[in-house]
Amino acid sequence: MKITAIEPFTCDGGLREFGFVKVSTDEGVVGWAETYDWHTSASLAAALRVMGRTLIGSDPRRIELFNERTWYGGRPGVPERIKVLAAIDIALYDIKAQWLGVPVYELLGGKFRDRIPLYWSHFATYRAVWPSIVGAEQRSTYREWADGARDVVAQGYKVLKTNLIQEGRAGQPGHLPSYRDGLIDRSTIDEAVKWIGAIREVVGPDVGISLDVQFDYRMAGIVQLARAMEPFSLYWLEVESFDPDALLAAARQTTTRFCHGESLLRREQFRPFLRQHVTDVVMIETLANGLTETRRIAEMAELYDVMVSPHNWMSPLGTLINAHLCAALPNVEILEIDLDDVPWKMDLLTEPFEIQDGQLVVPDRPGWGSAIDEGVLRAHPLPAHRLA
Amino acid sequence: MKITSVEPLTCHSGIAGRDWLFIKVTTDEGIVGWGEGYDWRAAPALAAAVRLVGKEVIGQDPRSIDSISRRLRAGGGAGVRERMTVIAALDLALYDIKGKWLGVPVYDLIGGLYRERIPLYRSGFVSRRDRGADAPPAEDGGAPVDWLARADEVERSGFRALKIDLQSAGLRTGVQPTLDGAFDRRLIATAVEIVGTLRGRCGPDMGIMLDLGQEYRTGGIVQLARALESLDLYWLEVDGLDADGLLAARQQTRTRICHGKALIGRHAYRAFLEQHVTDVVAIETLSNGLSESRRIAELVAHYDAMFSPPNDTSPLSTMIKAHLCAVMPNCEILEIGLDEGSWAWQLIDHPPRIERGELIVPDRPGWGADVVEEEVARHPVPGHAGGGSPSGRRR
Repeated sequence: MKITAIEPFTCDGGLREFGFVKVSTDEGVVGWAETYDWHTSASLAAALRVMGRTLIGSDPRRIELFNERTWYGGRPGVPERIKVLAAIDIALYDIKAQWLGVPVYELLGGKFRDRIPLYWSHFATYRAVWPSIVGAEQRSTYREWADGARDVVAQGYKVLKTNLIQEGRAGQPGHLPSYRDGLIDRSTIDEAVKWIGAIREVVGPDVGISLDVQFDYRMAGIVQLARAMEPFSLYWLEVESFDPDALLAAARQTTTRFCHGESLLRREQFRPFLRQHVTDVVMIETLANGLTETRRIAEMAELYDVMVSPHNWMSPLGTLINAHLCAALPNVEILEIDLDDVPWKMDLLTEPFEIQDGQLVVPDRPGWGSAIDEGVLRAHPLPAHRLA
Repeated sequence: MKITSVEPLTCHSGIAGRDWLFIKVTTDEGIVGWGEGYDWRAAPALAAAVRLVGKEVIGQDPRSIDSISRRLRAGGGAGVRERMTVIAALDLALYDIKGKWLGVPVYDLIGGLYRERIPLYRSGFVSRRDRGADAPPAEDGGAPVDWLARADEVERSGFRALKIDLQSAGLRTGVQPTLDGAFDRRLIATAVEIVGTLRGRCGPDMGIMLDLGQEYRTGGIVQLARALESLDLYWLEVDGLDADGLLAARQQTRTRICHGKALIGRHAYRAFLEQHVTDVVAIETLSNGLSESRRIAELVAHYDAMFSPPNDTSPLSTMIKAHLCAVMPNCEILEIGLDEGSWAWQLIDHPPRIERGELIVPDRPGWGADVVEEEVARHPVPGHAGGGSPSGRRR
């Protein structure tokens, strides 16, 4: 079998850009992958197109060979190269699994679980801040936004994750706090307490509430926020940092549980965090690392008794890719999913997946279980100023 | 698909006290998978463990390999050695089944072919094991073996390296392992003489490995390693469970050290890897199973080190390890302990091709060869009737 074409695609996903790559073979098997570059997908697509040309004619089943040669064939540290490698690696699994007539999880050790527990991500965030994109009615208060949690719980989700959305002036949509050099101020903390408190009041003590603040705060801000959150027993506080020592110091100053890792690439970046047990759960961006490396990171996490929760913020294909990983790896805690989104998001898949009672049902069809509908892709092109 | 039976088959290797343990897993679709367990002094005990643990998987889907391993591990107390060995052997048989079910060699299930030829080194060429099925089983006695002539044969066959140990029959070193782990000057002098003689015979380009086993402590290892520096060993192979001590030893000599074959599970390797104790790591695939061996090999690669599987048991073991070596970029070299003309190759129906010191990766489905039960039945473990009979049951 030989690779005959590697075609990247970009798409305007409304809340972020989507990118995909389609790898075709001389035996008619076609593999799909999703790429991870939510605001410069066109440049990643360009890199895929150029680097993809060197792979035409090679055997797609030799995944390890592809990984090793690509990694050592250029400058390994360049993030673009890592993400190109990741995307093609992911597509190769789709090809191999279809060639063998099995779901991808069979190549990862087989199914450890049939259903993946999900958490409802960006709870109320899109509805509060960008209601028109997700087709929601505009609401302006914590109470109104928190009310939506009744539906989340009724659908069977055990955990939801939200952001620091803040009430605006009456009748205005909500907003996120602006970045202030990594500091957190009193009013942001007060608003956070109100928002999380409002959710807690609606869902009660047994539903998990996570809060994601990404890179917004440096260590002082993180500690202050984490301490303010202690009464709410957050499921986790999600932060970003490239400094394991700093994050460790922060984590040890609060009982709030931390989650971290979506911006890290490859085992080299995870290892210092794992070695020091900075968090007991790590987030891995599967699409940026590739399936091979993500599996290795998760297995390394297991070596340190750490759980894993993949970052899953892109299209439903990304969800399927993560589903196979989560089906096979034992130390997966929970998987992210955005239910509020552009209304046509699921149309991207030729075969939709099912969620039952807050859990993703892992499809048993060959490969990922779905391809991408190129017509839907073409219907949502990137605007000109976002193209490379 | 369901597992319908799990049977052990024991087989005598021809060397006293060394036996082999095969595991045969049968399914309701008729696919049969073969694995091997590693415990060369206690194959009958392992056979009993196989029967007991095997009962727990009857009726399960053999394709969920890691699920089965993990649940078995969690279910019985992870530290029990026999159970861990059986779980590993079962993992291997399940990979054989999965490969056959999909019609592909096992390497296609774990990353695809990275290399088509695997560099080999010879071991076991000094013992009397391969003198024929009717050779006396004792390790000593009889006419002295011209071990240097045997080394010549190894070199002529194209192997790029060979491994000796100080207790091999025929070397006539008189060296016995000391229980206190110490080295004395006589022992060091003997080792230098043996290796020196071999080096003189084979020239500077042949790799010479010396396997010390588990019997020596750090201080002795340092002394021996230093004494051997001018002879440029390919590696000095040691075992032992103290990462700090071994690191200290490695830092005090230029002799390359290989370590790891007694470790089970990647947690056991962690301390050695984090401290970069050795740049080549031994992984016993039969003790770990294929899934965990691969994870260990990947962890080793992450720490920039190479790995080498020990391989001094049956020909099935060679087939199994060939697949691991076929897919992992950081596989340095694979041991082979059997002579080309050994009777033992008849234990499998499709022995691999070995050309000029390289093993050609087999490309038939599964491991690429099945155990020949009739041949196993011809080599029963003395005192144990668990070999080769269809029911596999003891009298």
